[in-house]
Amino acid sequence: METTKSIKIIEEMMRESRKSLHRYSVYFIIWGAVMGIAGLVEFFLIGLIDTAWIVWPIAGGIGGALVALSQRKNDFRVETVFDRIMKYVWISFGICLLFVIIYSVKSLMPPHALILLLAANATFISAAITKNKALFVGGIILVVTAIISGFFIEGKWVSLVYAIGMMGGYFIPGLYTKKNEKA
Amino acid sequence: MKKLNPLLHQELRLSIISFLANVEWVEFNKLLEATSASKGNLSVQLKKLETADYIEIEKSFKDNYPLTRCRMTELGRDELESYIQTLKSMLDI
Repeated sequence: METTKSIKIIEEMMRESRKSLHRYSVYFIIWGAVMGIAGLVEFFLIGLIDTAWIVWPIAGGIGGALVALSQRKNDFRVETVFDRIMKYVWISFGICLLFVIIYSVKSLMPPHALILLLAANATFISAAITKNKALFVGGIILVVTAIISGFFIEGKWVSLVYAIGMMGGYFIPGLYTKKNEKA
Repeated sequence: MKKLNPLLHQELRLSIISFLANVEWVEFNKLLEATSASKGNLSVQLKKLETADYIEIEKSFKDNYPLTRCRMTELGRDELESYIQTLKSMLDI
């Protein structure tokens, strides 16, 4: 085999393996849409019924089911180092999220600001790993909405800002990323 | 001048090891798709790389179907790097 051919093979196969990077945009779109809509529904329900919080377990169930469905379509026959890091970042986010929700319920305080902050953390790491500017902007939106809902507003407005945070931090960057993945 | 590693200086084996350089692990079928090789030939070349400790092959089951995953070892990574360095010196890059 000629040496120039060796170089060509190495370049081609390294390029081929890079194509195997998983498509993560779908998860941002799903969770952004589901949590954004849930925040809006809670915003309109507060004042109408006493159990407006019921939207969250329902939204969690719907989001989880949609993610499970989308995972069937994803190519999991190869794992890159980036995939492994992303997996652990979001597993860690899930564990912290569960803790925050339980702690907030126990302390009788709304968890929205803390959830937005946790989401911002995981989104910033994802942005750095995938070199995705849209996700970086999403992380900034999540931090800003976390600060607003944590310090400047109260009551039902927290749900509205949470919805804006999820739409701006997850959903819109997810859509933008998906468009670029296709290109 | 240093000679190219004969184990890596073969089209399919070089393709396999170059693909593995960028990933944590890959399933056999994905490798089959990426290299466009035949099942038999790919199995033979994987075995040669495994015997030389350049890769690890892990066999298990997924949904009752046999599943073969391959990953590169540190030795394999070192040998690929050394192969690329030798290539560069030969081509004066």
